[in-house]
Amino acid sequence: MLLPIVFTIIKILIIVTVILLAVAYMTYAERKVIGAMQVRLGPMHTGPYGLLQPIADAVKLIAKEDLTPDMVDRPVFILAPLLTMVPALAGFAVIPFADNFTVFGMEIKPYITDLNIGLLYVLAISSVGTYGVIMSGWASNSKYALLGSLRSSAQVLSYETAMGLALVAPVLLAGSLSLREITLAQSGMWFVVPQIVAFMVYLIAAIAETNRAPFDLAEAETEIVAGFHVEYSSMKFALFFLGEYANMYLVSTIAVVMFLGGWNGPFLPPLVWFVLKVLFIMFIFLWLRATLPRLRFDQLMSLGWKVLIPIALANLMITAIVVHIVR
Amino acid sequence: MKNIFDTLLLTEIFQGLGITLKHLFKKKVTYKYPFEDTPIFPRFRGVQYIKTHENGATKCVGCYLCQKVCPSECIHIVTDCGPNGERLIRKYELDLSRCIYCGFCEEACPVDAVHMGRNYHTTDSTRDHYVINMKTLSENYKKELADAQAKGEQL
Repeated sequence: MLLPIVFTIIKILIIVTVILLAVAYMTYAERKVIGAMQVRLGPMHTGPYGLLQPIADAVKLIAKEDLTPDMVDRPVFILAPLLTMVPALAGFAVIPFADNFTVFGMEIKPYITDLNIGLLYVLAISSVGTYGVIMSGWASNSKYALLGSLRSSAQVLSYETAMGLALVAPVLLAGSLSLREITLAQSGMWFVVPQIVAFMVYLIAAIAETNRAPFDLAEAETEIVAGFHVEYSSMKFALFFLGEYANMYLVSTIAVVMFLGGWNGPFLPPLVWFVLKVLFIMFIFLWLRATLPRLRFDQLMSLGWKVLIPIALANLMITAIVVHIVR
Repeated sequence: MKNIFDTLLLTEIFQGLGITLKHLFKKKVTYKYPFEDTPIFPRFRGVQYIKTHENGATKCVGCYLCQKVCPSECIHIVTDCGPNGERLIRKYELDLSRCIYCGFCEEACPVDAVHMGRNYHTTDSTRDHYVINMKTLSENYKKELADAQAKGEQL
């Protein structure tokens, strides 16, 4: 009875540690990749090739003074960064990183739990992250933060629909909501082949969902001061930062599980395939940031409502009809 | 028709992505400044130096022309009368925190004494070090001469 609990706790610790390290080094990778695409070098000074830069950044942020402005709504102000960070990490509870394998006659399951409604759980938990944005903007008692948080939450809410609709199509093909079942269903053919439209819609919606360029309206440094975390400093600010990157990892992981076949792949061990695919999707995020200019807010909304949702719906209809005929 | 095709397949976005990907593998143009110097062009104007004769005496004759022509008024000269009625230079000060490196002093000099050097590492922790005198300027000449000889150039 006790052993499974201990195992689960060990797994949780491993996954959280790995994700936090990955998030730290994603900031480094972002600066490097965008630098290289602008024919620059990026960070080079801290350690060999600047490899210790994220650690230096973290130490710097922790060492800074953590100040709370006078007129903020204190409990909400403190809760908001937690609400952006924790759901992003909690979403990884149902991700199947690899297939079950046996070590010393004991079956190891490389995921924390396998819910039969895993996808629904991920969508629900990532929606909770929106509250962090809204609450931080409201509690800061600053017009810039409020405007930024309003933009951000409007964006997240409108793109969540398209994202959900795009994710339903692979679910129809797999006939299950459990992420492990969906991955197993893709052992023959990845769903990105029949569902290329849904994959594109999902990618666009996911980039908008995580407030990244070219949809980084909420943090438009050139227009409003910084968006919803303008009043935050020190570790609370770092939590927002980590939450944003952890969310990016979460949507990339979901994209890999739903469309790119999860751990399926020839020659290499399953976990390696999984990590490679996730890093590839993350690279696409950085790539787009280096390429595209920011959208105007009305363009953003019209793209979400007038383009993505109809395309996702049409795709869903066609998928449903085809699945019905074949089965 | 072509427009519809372009919009549906996001061709322009893919073109942009191709360009950024091409740049990813280009040779980088960054100079790691404190560790390696940026290249200097032949006509670069850095900190001045004042040429000396072979016996070590300065070529400057204290004619005040450089002080006169200097637009930021950073050259201050004080001259004095010598024992044989010649002009001695009591003080020749150049304030680097005011200098705009325009090279007018070099152009105005009738005796080929003051010149623009190639050294641009002028940053310092105290403001007093920015005022350089004749001694420093003559030492700059020695340095520049050594550098030029190392490169096999004429000064």
